Amino acid sequence: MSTQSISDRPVTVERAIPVTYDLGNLTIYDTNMMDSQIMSSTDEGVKEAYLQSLARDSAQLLVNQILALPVVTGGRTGGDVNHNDGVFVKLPDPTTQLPREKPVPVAKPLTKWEKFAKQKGITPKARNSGNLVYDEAKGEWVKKWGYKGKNQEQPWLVEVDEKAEN
Amino acid sequence: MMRILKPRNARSKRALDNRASKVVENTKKALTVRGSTCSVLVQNAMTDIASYKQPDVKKFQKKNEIHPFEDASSLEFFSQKNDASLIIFGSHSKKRPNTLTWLRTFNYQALDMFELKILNHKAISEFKKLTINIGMKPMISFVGPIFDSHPHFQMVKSMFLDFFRGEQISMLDLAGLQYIISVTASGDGNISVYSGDTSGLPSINFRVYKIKTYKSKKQEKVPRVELEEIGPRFDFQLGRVREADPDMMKQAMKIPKELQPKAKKNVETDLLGDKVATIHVGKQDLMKLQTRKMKGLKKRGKDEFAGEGNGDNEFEDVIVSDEEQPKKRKRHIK
Repeated sequence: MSTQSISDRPVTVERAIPVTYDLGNLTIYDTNMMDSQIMSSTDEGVKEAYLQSLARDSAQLLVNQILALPVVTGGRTGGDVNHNDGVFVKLPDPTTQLPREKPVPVAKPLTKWEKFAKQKGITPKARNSGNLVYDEAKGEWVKKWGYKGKNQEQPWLVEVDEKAEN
Repeated sequence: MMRILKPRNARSKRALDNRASKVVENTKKALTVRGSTCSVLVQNAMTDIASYKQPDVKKFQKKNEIHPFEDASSLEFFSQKNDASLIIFGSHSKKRPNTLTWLRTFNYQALDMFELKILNHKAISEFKKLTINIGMKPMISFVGPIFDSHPHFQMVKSMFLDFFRGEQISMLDLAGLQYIISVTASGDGNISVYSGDTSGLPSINFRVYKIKTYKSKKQEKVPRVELEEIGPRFDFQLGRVREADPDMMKQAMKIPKELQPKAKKNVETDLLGDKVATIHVGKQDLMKLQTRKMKGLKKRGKDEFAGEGNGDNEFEDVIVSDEEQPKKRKRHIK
């Protein structure tokens, strides 16, 4: 099989009964009937070739579906911060429901303090949220204190002090 | 746990919290357990299967005297100790040669299980060596109408999906589409479900192929997919099946509130396909409503005949404009 003939082969697959997909699980469900003659034949080569062709068609269908999904480029510029390199495809949530391994977690009963706080309306103290503050003029987040912090800003316009000049 | 463990430090607390019930669960871990009569063929088969479950699989080395269909309690104990909810138990006997028992647990108790007899097995080592990175998410394909119609085959489908699907990811790197697991079963779906005799059921063909993509001349965007078998190759025959207790299955299928899709209130799509929403305006104070001013409705101070006359005023002033002063008389408005 030369590479030239492979690129001439079709990329679409025809199926009598339309297949269903679960792209969240990268799964394809094909309910079309298999060729019972080939399946019951004693020739292993024929059977394996048939199974491989079925699998290839499934793979082709899946790949076609996956490539139709929205593409997200990695990186800080508009993409997902966690995925920096490469081209990613946003998978949908899985549709096939599988049984959980553990029961759904139950809400823990409130402790004595939690009950009291709730009743009295006591909320945790709002602490200073970190070091960053939004600078409207610059249009970005700057540090409140520390190296190059906002509190150390020098005035950009200083009047000439005549006494100091002379 | 046999005894309730109290975490002594932050590390053990984190480990314990990892094993606790969660809204979004961890990837299911698997165990491969050898029976007392486990043959080399079965051991190799389990090793091959486990290679596609790495790193979420633990392989036990010792042989254990267990009969899962009679008493699964020791397998449940292993599940609890290792926090593994999928177990493959390998055994061999004259009556049931080269058998793998696949078991799923819910809350460390046996949920459902079935036996698969290995009819023929070709190991990964017998195929051309093509490396697949560990932990790659496979593509899975189920071909055959019986997977939709026969409840036992539906269980097999569910178990295989649970076992091989790997980690839940939302972003897929296209380079990560490396292999496909193809599970097929021939035969029509019209096999009697409750015949009890499982020997008439079709065999399940399990194949694994590596994916190669070639640029297609016909379409630029979509590549031509070609496969190469990397193994293992199995033909399974379904044996005994123990279905899940319906109550337990119902518990296991529950979706926590946090994950249920939230229905947007007030927004509906009407018959024409337009999105219609209700905007809730606050309560209006009727006393302060701005309406059109009707001079005739203004209150006059020294009226003796009030009541129904008010309604008459309106008509009197509007219709009969000659009169200056409204006459307060009871009238029937027609």
